Amino acid sequence: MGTKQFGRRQFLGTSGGIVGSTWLASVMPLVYSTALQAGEKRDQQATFSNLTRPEAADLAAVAEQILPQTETPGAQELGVIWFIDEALGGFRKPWGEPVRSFVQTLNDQLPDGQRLAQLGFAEQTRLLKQHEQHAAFSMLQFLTVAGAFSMPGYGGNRDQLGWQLIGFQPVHGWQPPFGFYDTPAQQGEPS
Amino acid sequence: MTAAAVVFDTRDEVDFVIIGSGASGGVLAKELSVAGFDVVVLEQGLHRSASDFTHDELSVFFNGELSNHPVWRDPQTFRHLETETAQVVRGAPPALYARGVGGSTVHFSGNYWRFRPVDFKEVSMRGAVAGTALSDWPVSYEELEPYYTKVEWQLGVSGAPGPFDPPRSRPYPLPPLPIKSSGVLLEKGALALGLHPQVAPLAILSQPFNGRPPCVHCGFCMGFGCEMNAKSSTLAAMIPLALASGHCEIRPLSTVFRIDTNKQGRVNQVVYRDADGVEHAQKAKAVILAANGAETPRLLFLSESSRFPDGLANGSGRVGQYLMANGHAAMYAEFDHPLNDYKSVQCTRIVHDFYESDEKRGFYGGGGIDARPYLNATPLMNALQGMPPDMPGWGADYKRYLEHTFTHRTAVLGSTTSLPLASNNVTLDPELKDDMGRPALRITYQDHPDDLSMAAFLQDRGEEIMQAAGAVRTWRDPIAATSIAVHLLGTCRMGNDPSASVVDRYHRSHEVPNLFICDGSSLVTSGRGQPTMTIQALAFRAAEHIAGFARRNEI
Repeated sequence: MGTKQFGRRQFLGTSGGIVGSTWLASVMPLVYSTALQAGEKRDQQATFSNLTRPEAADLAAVAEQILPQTETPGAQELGVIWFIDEALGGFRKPWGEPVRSFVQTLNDQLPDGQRLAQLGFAEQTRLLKQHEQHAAFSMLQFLTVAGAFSMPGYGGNRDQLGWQLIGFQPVHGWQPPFGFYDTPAQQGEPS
Repeated sequence: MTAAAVVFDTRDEVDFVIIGSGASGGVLAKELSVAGFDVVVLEQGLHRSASDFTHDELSVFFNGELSNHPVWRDPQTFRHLETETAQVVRGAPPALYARGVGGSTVHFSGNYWRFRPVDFKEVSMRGAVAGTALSDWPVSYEELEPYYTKVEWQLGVSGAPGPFDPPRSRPYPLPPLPIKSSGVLLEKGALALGLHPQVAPLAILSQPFNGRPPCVHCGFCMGFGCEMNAKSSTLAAMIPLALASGHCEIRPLSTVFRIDTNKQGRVNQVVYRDADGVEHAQKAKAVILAANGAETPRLLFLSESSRFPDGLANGSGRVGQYLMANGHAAMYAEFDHPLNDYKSVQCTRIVHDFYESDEKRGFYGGGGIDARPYLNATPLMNALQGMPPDMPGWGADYKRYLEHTFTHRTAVLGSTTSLPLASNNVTLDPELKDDMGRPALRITYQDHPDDLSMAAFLQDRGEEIMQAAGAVRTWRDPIAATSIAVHLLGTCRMGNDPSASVVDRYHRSHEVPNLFICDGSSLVTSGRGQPTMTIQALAFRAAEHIAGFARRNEI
């Protein structure tokens, strides 16, 4: 896929159009049923399919930096790493190499064989801020939010916690009023 | 999957082969088969049914479930200027359209704006635009009006007349869908500014219609197939009638490679490959090309021969030229209380006060605006696009922003004219090929400066409206040159002059009497950003004339 050639701007697709982004419509087929086992693994806390334990720990730390625990659960609690594990061995396999080499680059900067996952949260933030323009960091941004907000069967979004964070309810249909401003009391009333 | 009601042998000469089953192909298939003609429709994608559609955002937006070729890779290249070497596009293709029966009507958001009289005679009414091919159409609004009405009543359109609407011969068949908070706010802001907000006409059912149920407001609308059949796609509204006629076979997973011509210069068969890559040739008395504004010119180029060295029906050299994508520019507004704009259809109110070009603005152009969640209607897309410029892309503040914004914001989308330029075009890439060896689509596109000015103008108006409605924060996408076209218009334009157009006023190609071309490529101008209804009005009109020609033995 030539992922190393992507500039960050090109990658994030900041043009005003339909998200002019490499995230969209890769030609790799994704079959939901084959991914479903990722959700089971997450729930059983089984071993990872594609990542080593240390790799998974480092990537989970990056994901937690992107969507940290605040007043609400973060990437860790959402099980995002299980989505990333599945994606890097499956429908985003070409991203595996650049993502691993990115983590290696970060770890190489640490003394005494330390790894990213072993740093304190603030130290991790500082380190990632120095590398946030890296294309592989953009991939991890995508993988983290995709793990948080796509269907739980893909491995992340444990118990639909990601959807709960933003107030999305996965029901099949709605009836009006849909929001505050289209309630009968608000319509036509000057404010 | 719906079973084909009739199966034709490829060696039998059917009355019509229609290439493409989308906005226009679906209409033509239904009209001609119900009229008693034997029709084979060749569609490169799958024949899905409502139960095949999901709310799987990852698959639909990021893995091309509806847009990728179902069997092989069919990449495209892009450049802005003809002097550049086009680059292979790895992500969303520059000519982005849905593959599958129903085409892009399956995933569209169903904005069904009639063009106005001015759209068809803008040059005579306001003068030419230097350096562009802006032209009058060979048909008028008055000629097309009965067919707009057919679109509304046969497909199923919900709406109510607005203050600037052109004359109509019949009311809307269905009342408007319920207003959303974004519609209320657009209305409120627009009225405060002395503008004239109106109901958004939508090809989505507000009530049961022709055996189909109404919208359940699930919110997975733009980009998704409708699980209810409430969206008036040709898949839901036309194809079942075509199949029921007993005269139409829909042949999915059939990708056309070439249209063959005989010694007399008439088309006689369409060569295509099935899902296994096996080649077939369907014989036909006439061929209707309805493959969209990118694939239609591609097929004409691929069908070159010694008699048609520059591509079939391309004696004018206009095949592929004048590509128009419509400009689209969004601005965003956040409010104190929840809008929950992720529920229901995309838009319920529009503002058409800026539809006509106005010299006082200092540039050519017109457009319409609407309020809608736009690409932020679903959880993952919401996390990825449309951020305020000062928002970090990760960390605690980013997360808190996502938690608040999904329910509390809307967007105002401006849709604009695109000027027809010969330098914006569809050609065959000289090097890149698809997995089956067909030369890839090469898209060359650079918006005319006036198109970008109009997009920025509409963003300004959108911001004023949202501020007047009480927005606590507004921001906008940067105006950027178009690199992905979802409206594929103008590339085989209709006209009376064979040296300046590809098809005549009845969609018959100027050079090949039994080859008709009817889809987005036929449009002479781009309208104001919502072209599907006009593509279908043209298709209803073309079907009537083509049936007449066939009955009178004039093909």
